[in-house]
Amino acid sequence: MPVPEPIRDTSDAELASAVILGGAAGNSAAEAELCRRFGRRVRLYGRRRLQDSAVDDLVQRVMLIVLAKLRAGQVDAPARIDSFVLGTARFVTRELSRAGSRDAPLDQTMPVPLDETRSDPLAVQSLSACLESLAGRERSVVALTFFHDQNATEIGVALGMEPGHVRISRYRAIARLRTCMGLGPEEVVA
Amino acid sequence: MTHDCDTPVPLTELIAYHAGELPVGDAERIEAHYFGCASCSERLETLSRLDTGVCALVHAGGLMAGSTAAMVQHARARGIVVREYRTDPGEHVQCTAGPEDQLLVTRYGGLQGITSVDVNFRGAIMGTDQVIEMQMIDMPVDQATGDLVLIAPAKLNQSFPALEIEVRLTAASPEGSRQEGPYYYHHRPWSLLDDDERRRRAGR
Repeated sequence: MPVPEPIRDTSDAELASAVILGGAAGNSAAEAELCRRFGRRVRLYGRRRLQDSAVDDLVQRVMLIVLAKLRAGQVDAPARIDSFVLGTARFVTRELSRAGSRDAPLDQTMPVPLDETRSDPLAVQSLSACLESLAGRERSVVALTFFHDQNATEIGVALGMEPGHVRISRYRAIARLRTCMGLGPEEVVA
Repeated sequence: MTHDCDTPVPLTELIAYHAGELPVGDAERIEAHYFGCASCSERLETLSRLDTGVCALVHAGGLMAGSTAAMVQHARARGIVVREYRTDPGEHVQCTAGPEDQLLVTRYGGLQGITSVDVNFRGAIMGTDQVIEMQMIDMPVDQATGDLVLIAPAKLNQSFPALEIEVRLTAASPEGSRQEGPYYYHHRPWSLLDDDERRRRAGR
């Protein structure tokens, strides 16, 4: 099955089917795009569960398993490739969480550099200006959320706020930051 | 390329997921959605970029915000060079900002039972009749210490001339507004200080 051009407009299921049909010979364009696309989602998944240093490992291991299974025709439902990748990410995360399991070296590399599964860093100066435009309390909530990794309950205790009030403040601040940084369409600010 | 989603995950839920606040079942539902949704995974990635960006900004000593003593400890534990001064109402502090400092922390005590203050800075530039004034509204008080904990870029303070600073706080309470302070800071540029004076102004 040929991969429609441009490949970025191809659906996840079409990409998976193209890799399956490429078989052992491979379909390098489809495989690369599949890794770019799902590598980012696996990275988001791993960030919540693993130390930063282990996330690259997770991305590579998951995508190599997925590609191997697709090439071997062992994925029954390419239309549900998203579920297959998520299930693999859950399995590999459990493996990596076990002591010593990260020692096993990888004998292959992904068809794309790991950098292509990472998002671009934000311009710090622009972010600083956007943060300055927030109300003082919102800025504090953002700092405690992202830098101190505190949840709404913890921030509420620290600043003497109800958790629900923290969530509203956090939501407003993040929605404003997204808009200010040009990071996508405006979200409704409650 | 734009991706559309007929059933987008609300931003509030994506934020709660990112913050690790959701019950397992809800987190799994969101994961099942964004693994198959380019639009929602991009929105979640945006949160991740903001997270990384804010951390980078703090590491670069570029954030000015109300904070907590626990967050300052967290910054120190991450290797950020912090200079910290604490005053109670009416107290005077001799201060400076060293060349290696990344964050300058000023703590204003005596605020037990208060959750929010408005801050008024007034800095007289020594040897001139010029005055720097700054106001911050609704700054949260750290409930664990009863202090207002302000973090500021050390670079900003490194750029200051010799200043005589007076800080007054206004706290809202059910009985009406209440004044706290003043707190006095005597800032001198690092380059004008000898070693003894630098040690005297080392802070905490």
